[in-house]
Amino acid sequence: MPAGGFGRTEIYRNLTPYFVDKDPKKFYWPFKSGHIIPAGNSTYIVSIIDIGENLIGEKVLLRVSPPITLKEVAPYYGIFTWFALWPFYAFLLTCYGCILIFMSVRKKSTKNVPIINVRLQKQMKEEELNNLERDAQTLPDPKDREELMNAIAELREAQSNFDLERKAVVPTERNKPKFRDYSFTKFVKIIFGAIIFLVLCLSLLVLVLPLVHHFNGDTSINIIKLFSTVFPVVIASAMILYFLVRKSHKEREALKLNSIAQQFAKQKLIFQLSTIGLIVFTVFVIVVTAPVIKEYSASGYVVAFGFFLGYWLLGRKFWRCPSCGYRLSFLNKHRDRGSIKYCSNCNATLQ
Amino acid sequence: MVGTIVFHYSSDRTTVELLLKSKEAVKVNLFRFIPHKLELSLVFQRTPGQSRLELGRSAHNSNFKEIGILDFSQPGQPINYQFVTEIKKSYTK
Repeated sequence: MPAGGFGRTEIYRNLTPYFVDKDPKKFYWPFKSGHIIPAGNSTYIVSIIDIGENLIGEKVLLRVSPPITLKEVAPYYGIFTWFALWPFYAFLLTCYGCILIFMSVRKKSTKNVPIINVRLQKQMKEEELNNLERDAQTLPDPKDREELMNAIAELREAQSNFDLERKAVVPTERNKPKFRDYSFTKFVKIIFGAIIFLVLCLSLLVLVLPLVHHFNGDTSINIIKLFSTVFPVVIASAMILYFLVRKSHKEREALKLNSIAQQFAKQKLIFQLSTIGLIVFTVFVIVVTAPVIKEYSASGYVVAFGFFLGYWLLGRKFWRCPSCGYRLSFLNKHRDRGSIKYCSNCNATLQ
Repeated sequence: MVGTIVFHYSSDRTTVELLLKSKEAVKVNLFRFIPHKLELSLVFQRTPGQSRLELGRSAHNSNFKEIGILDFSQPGQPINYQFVTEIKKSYTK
């Protein structure tokens, strides 16, 4: 094709195959496209066979037009054009995040657990310890007996500490906070956590996008340099987040004594691992089926529906109270999973 | 986030340097999420205001819609190229 576009210092010339009587002056209208690039990664070798005299030895840029341009969008790519406005969505999500932070600073007033249940649990623990003490008395060796008695005393102490803590966190009608918890450290912790989370997301984005360019054939990116600078940021922010969400030593010790909480932790781990499995499976399905599927928008809806159905079923199976089997609040926009500390049915401590 | 990555990826054009010389070859790696037609173009340099007649002019016949053929009177100097995919299918112009 003759020169079709002019920039200030550039002239663009489309490479269109001509078929009309092998005449280099004539082209079919509308243009017939020669080749379709398949889904996935493909490598092409473009070689020059013959060239006009005046153009020999000139250095030019060979350009492959992308599916989404300002002028036209390829079929099935339409949905992705909306992501050009991603800063706007990021702004909306940030606002939503701020509202969530504000809401999570407020203490939930629904945690009014009847104190009678705590007493019942305490009684049961005491009974267990009494039984153990009785068994210890029957031991023949005085050394063993003393050792076991000391262990029981330690357990009793831990239990009483745990009870104190329970009393402190379980709001009764008397000590239930009216509206907000004004703890400054908690507020700072949440804000700091949100900033670190943003840093983690952005550094992952910074890591992924140049990698994508690199696999797309862009050799100008130094991958080693990129990884050596961004990867420590990812690791550091992930570790800071981990320490921020980690429970205090006392809380962890208390949860160790609670068999229901331990069982719930196991259940939670299985749930998280199955969710990761579900994500990996979904990606696998997309990668395997992409080259053979024709109707992309329909298959996209099917995959998205399948993923959410799978996630919902996993939640139905694992997000339950281990003590009474009651289904806990799941996929609820007003309550995140971490904020569920007690079963709303049997009031057992969960996490 | 996934949508943004797909958008970023799909709206980014791939560019490689090429020396216009017989038997000169260049390798292009392309990744597409959804099949897409291949459209190649060459970018030539010019000093501002310079008209390069050897690249041709886009003036063509006015009845191209009726006859379905575009006829350029000055198509510019020809560039014959070949591209080969990994599965050794070749398309020549």
